[in-house]
Amino acid sequence: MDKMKRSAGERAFDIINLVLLCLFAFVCLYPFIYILALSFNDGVDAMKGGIYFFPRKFTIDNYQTIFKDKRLINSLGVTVFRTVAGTVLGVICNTLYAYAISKTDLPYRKVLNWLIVIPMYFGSSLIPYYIICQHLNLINNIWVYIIPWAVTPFHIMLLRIAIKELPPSLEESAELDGASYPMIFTRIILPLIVPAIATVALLSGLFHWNDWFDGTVMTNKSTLWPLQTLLLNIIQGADMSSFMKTGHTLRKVSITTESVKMAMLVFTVLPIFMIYPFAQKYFIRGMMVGSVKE
Amino acid sequence: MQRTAVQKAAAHRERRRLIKKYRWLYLFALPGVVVLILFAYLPMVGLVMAFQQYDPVSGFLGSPWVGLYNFQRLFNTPTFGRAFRNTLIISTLKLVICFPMPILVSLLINEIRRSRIKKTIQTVVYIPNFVSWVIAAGLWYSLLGNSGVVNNVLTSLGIIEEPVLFMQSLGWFYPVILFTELWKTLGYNTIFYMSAMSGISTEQYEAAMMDGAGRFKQAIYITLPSISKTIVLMFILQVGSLMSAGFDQMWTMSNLATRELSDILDTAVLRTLTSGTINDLSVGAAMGLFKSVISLGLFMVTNFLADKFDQGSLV
Repeated sequence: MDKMKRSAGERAFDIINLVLLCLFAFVCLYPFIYILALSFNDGVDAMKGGIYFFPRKFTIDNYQTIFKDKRLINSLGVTVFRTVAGTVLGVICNTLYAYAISKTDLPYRKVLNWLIVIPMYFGSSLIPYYIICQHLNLINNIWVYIIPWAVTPFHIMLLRIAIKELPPSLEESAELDGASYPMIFTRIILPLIVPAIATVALLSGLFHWNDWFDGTVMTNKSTLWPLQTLLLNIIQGADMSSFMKTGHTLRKVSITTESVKMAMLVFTVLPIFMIYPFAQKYFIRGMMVGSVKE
Repeated sequence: MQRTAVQKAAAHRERRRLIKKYRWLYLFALPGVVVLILFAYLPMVGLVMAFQQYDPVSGFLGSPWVGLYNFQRLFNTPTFGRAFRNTLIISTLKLVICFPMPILVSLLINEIRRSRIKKTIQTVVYIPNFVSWVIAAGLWYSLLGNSGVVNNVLTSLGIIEEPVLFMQSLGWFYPVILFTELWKTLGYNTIFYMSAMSGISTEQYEAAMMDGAGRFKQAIYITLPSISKTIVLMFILQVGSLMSAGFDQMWTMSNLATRELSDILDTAVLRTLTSGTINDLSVGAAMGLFKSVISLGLFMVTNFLADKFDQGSLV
C-alpha cells in the first residue's frame, strides 16, 4: 500500500480523518484534564472561570480539605474493603462454579447451567430483592455489597471458556495418578487460567470500585457509604457542610464547594487511571470473549 | 423390553458412579448455588407480591392476594404513564442517534494507517467507559455549569451572552443526555466492530484495488458488509434493552428541574422504595414485573431474529 503513490484527495482525507479522530479522543480525555486543573486551583479564583488546562492560582488546599474530612476517609475504607473482599470472594466462587460446570459428563450440569443463564435475562426485581435482603439482615450491613455479588454469571462463562480450552489430557493423567479434584483444581487448573482469572478479578474490582447503587439504596447509614455514593450525594445535594467546617477551622477562604468537589472527583477516579494501562488488554479481552463466544 | 430395563439400570448405576466421582465438584458449585438462589431466584419468586397487598409483617406467604389490583392502580398513576413514555422516548433516541455512531467511527479508525496512532486513539476513547456514571455526572455538571468550560468558551466567542443552564433546563435535556451517552459509550462500542474488521483478509482489499476501487469504495463494499453481522447483532441487543434507557445515567444526571423528562421506569421503581412517589411497595413491584416481562419478551423476539440472521442464538 505504502509503495503506491496516494492521490491528493486521499491524502486530504487522511489528514481530515486524523484530525477528526484526534478531536474525538480529546473530547473523551478533556473532562479529566479539566477537573485535574480545577482541583489544584484556588476555589474562589476558579469561580471567575477561564481555567482550561492548567491551574491559574496553584494550591493543594482542596486536597488538604478532603483528606481532613472523616467522612471521606471512612468512605474510602468502605470502598477499599468491598473492592478487595468482593473481588476475592467473587473470583473464588465463580472459578469453582466454572470448573464444576466445565465437566461435560457431570450429572445435573444442565441444571447448574440454567441456574446462571436465567438471571442474565430476567433481572430487575429490585423491590423483592430489597425485602429479601431485609430478612437476611443485610440492610445497613456492609456485607450487602459483597455477598450478593459473589456470583456473576458472565464471569463464570468467561472462566468456563478458559477451562474448556485446556487440553483434557492434563487432567486425565492427574486423575489416573489418583489426584483428588481439589488437588487437580489448585495444582493444574488454576495456574493455567491465570489470564482469565486476572480478567475476571479486574472486571470485578472495577465493578466494586464504581458501584454507587447499593450504597444509595441498601443502606441509610452514611457511615456505610462507599466513595461513589458519598460523591453522588455531594454532586446532587451539594451537602458540603462538613467540608466547609473543616475549611473554616483552617481559616481558608480559598476553597469552595466546587473546588473541593473537583478534588474528590480526581481522587475517586485516580485508581482507575492508574490501573488502566496495565488492565486495558484484560478488560478488552474479557469483553470480547463474552460477546463473541457463548 | 428386558434389555431396556437392563440398560436403564446400567445408566442409573453409571449416573450414581459419576455423582460419587464428582462429589467434590458439587461442593465447588455449592456457594454459587446458594448465592444465586438467595439473591437471584428468591427475588423472582418474591415478585408474587405484585399480586398481593404486601405487608411486611405477613411477608410473601401471608399477604392477602389482590389479583391485578396493583396493576390497575399502577396504570392509573400519572407517574407510570410518564415513566413509560420517557423510557421509550429516551431509548428510541439513543437507538437512532447513539447506535450508528460507533459504526461510523470504527470505519474511520480503520482507515488510520499508522498502528501506533491507531492504538493510542483507541486506548484514549475507551477510557470514559471505565468510570462510573457518578463520575461522569460530576464531570459534566462541572463542564456544563455556570462557570464551566462550555459556557466560558461560548460566551467569549460571543455565541451566547448569558451562561446557559444546560443541566437544569428541559430544552437541553435530550441533547445533554445523548451527548454524555455518546461520550461514555461511543469509543468503547467501537471495540466490537473493530474486532470484526480485524478478521477481514487483506486479499480482499488487494483484489478490490486491482479492480481500481478507491478507499471509500473499499470501505463501502468490503469493510461494511464484513461487519454487517456484528451490526445486526448489536442492533438486536439494543432493541432488546429498549425498556432500560440507562438507569445509572438518569439517576445520576437528572435533577428536580428535569424530572418531567428524565423519570424512567427503573428510576420510578427505585423512588417507590426511597421516597415513595407511589408510596406502595406492591405497586413498585408490579412496575418492576411489567418491565421485566416486556424486556423478556423483547429479548425472546430479538433472540429469535438473531437466529434468523444466522448469528447463533444468544442463550
